[in-house]
Amino acid sequence: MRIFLAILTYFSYIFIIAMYTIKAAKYLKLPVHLRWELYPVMHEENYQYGGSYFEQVDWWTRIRQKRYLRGFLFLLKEYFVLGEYFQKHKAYWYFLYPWHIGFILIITFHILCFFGAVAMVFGITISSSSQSITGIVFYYAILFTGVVSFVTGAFGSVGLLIKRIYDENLKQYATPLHYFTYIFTFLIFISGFYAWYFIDPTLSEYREFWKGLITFKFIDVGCGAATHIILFNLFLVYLPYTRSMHYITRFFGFCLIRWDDEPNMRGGKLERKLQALLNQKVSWSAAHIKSGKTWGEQVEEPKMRS
Amino acid sequence: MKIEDISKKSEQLITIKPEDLMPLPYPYDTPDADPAMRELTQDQKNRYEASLDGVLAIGIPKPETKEIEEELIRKFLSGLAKLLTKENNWTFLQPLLHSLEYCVKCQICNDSCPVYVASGKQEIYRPTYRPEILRRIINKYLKKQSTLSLKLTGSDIELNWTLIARLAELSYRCTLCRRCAQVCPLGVDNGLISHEIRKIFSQEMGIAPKELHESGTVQQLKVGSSTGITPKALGNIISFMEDEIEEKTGKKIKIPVDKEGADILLLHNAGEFMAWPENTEAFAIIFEAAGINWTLSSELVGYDAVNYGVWYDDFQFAKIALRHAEVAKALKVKKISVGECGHAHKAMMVIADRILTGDLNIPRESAIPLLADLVINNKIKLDPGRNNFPITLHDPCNMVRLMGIVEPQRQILRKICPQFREMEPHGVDNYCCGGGSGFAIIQSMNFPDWRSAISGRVKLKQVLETFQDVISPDIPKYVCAPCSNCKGQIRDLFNYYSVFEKCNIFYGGLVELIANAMVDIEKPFIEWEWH
Amino acid sequence: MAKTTLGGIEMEIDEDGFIQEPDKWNKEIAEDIAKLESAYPMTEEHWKLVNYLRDYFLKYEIAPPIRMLVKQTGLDLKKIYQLFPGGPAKGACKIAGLPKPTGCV
Ligand code: SF4
Ligand code: SF4
Repeated sequence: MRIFLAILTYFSYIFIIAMYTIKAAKYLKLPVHLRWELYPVMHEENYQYGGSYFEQVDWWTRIRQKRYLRGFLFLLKEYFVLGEYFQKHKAYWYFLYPWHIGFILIITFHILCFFGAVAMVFGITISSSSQSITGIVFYYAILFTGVVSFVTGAFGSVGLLIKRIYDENLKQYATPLHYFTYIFTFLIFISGFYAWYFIDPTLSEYREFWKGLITFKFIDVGCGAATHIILFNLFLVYLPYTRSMHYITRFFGFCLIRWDDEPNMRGGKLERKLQALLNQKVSWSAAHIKSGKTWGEQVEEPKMRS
Repeated sequence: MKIEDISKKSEQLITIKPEDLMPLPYPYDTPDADPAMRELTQDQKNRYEASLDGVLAIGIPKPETKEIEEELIRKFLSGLAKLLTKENNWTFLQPLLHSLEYCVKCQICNDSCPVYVASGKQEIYRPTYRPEILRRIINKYLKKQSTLSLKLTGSDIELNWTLIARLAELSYRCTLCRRCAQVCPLGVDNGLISHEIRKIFSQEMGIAPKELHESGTVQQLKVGSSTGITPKALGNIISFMEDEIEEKTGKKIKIPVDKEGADILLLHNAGEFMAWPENTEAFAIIFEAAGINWTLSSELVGYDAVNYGVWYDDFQFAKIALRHAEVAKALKVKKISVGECGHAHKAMMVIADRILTGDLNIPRESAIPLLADLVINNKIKLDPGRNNFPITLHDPCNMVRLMGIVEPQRQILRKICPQFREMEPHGVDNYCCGGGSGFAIIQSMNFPDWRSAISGRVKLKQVLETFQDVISPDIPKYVCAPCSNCKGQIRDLFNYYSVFEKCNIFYGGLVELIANAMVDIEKPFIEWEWH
Repeated sequence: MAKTTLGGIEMEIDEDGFIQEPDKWNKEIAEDIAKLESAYPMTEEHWKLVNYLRDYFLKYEIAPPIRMLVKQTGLDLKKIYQLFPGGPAKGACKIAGLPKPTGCV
């Protein structure tokens, strides 16, 4: 059992990282596209009202100040606020928010467990009465993230399930996988909650388990914790098959599409990329397109009078 | 209605009833205030694929034989497959895949859509409906997922000609205003999906509204303008404009044409010459007064800024964009400046930016910041008192949300229109006039009624709300729409509802207001009887 | 595309009633379209406008801008709508056998 648990854990972590990396690489390797930005563009000077550099006469002669950090912070903030949902659909937000917080915290919980385990290897005791401040901080941080994630996550899962079933707009587009996901996440959170509340109120088992993982001295954990660990691991394997990548691609989408206002300058790097793309052959078959010719060759002969 | 009903044969997938429509404010707040939308004749229904909502933007003839029908289905699938490849669609592949893959169907984008809301929330107009259909087809017919996985991912759909014919029309029930995209927290763009669906039909199957393709881009490339204006007709119209300018202002102005080495090549939507020559005249008057070194072109395509390709076909788009650049290059101008045309703004500055390389990448800008500079810095003498009537600004989506030109037009209006008031929402959050993505020029059969009653409805509501306190027909009011397409749509919308007669609301461009305020012109430049 | 009989000959018209072969146009055809456009019987003023449009079209292959038409015929917009309830483009141009206006007009 202990070996199984350890292998499953290693596997699921490696699996999700590999899958996400592959997906991200695929996304990033797509060719540069035509501009299709949408304002406000956060790195622009006049982002408050959605202004762009096109508001200036001879815009190409002015030096542009792009504030990438602002865009980044905006996106980051939205992870923790989900403001659009709050504004547009409060009833949904009340469940979606705890659900998301559940995820953010459960991930933080695992990261903390990992570093906590590292700390333990270095001899720090993690408990409420630890000699070391670090130990105390770890103790409470792990406890807090764990418990809060179990509670909010379970609440959100049930809420979203109900919402998907009864909200006319959501129901129409809901799929069996949606329902499955909510039930699945509910089980994960509730199993964590169960293990904490009934079996292991200090969550020491998780810390020991993680210490085992990094020192390769695998240990046995109780039924409750084991169930939770297995479910969570399976969830990690399941995630790449859902739309969960949106946590990451949201950044890509905003930075590479919605806010991509990079002008093409003569002799620039972008221009070289574009020239290569224009040299690809197309195979569209409508009559006005020359199938088998490149993009560049599609254009009709110039018909200047002079 | 279920999503998959789109492939079930029936006379019409939906029928919009007058009582479904979003209510309008005074004086259109009575049940009989809405004119009845024209229905297609039985004969038209027999000849064209009209089973979506009984409205025709494209008007695809019904396939005569089973074989033709099957060929069309095959072509649709091959087109869809090409849409997902780098070689054939590098232009939009990344945005397309992003939008196909990361929508979580939270539906918070729905209520941002003016078409969906105005129609009384018809399922088929929901911003997420089209993408859902497309995703299901891809999962089932291109990715060939197993039955189980189709069931789990809810991808059941039957691809048949009924679906395809309806989807084609449906891609022309979205104005590509991208308001839905703006609120999506995940960066998904349902408007883009409509655009891409249109491309399958045009680039693979040769299906597009006649106004956009045959008498649009094709005619523009052939005779010089989608209006049909030839270089010869242009010459005649320009001398007419010079006469008019003299008559109206007493100024003798020679409109420069094909002036080599001018600083600015001014590109107008040629529709202005035909329908609103006062706009192009105002430009000439202002540029002359400010001493700007500019020119028009009389080369083929060089006198028509439009590029309808931006709405339905990347190739037609590229051909026209290149042509514009070639004209400017041959004239050796320093830059191209685009007049009051929203889609030409976006087409030339934003979309064409990654098609024009080398010496064809000629600097291109909007004329509006330049005009703002003239007005704000008092480079022409203006008297705001001459524009002393209630006035509001309609923002063309292409200028605001899609390219961030928001303030210059406001700076002008704030300076020269004492009674300027904003409509809500405005700027990057604006609503489309209802004529976007080619709708305003689609004049055939009953489509014009649809775009007044449905896609233009929210705009009408906004305008009426903005002017509620001065709604009486005794008070003349002005909607400033710095875009030819928007003007065409607003004209038709206002005619449909007799807005001028009932409320005395006039529409026009931005430069007309500047010319109207010029102190050295005696008579008012704006002629209200030309509504 | 549909076919209909105008001025005694079979003509192709588009969905909005514009004839497809402008060179086949003659007075009889014009009068038949005028009947459909509630512009019948055609008076001298009707013909003045129609002939003006026709001449302009033959010269420039396009309809004139509305303002030009008003100026050069001396008929104001109101009058034009009285004569041609369909308006200058959808009424008068159709009767004069011009193609349907296209582009952003
Ligand atoms: S497009 Fe965006 S806002 Fe709309 S349903 Fe999909 S994820 Fe939600
Ligand atoms: S782009 Fe505009 S019209 Fe199209 S679905 Fe989105 S909001 Fe509606």
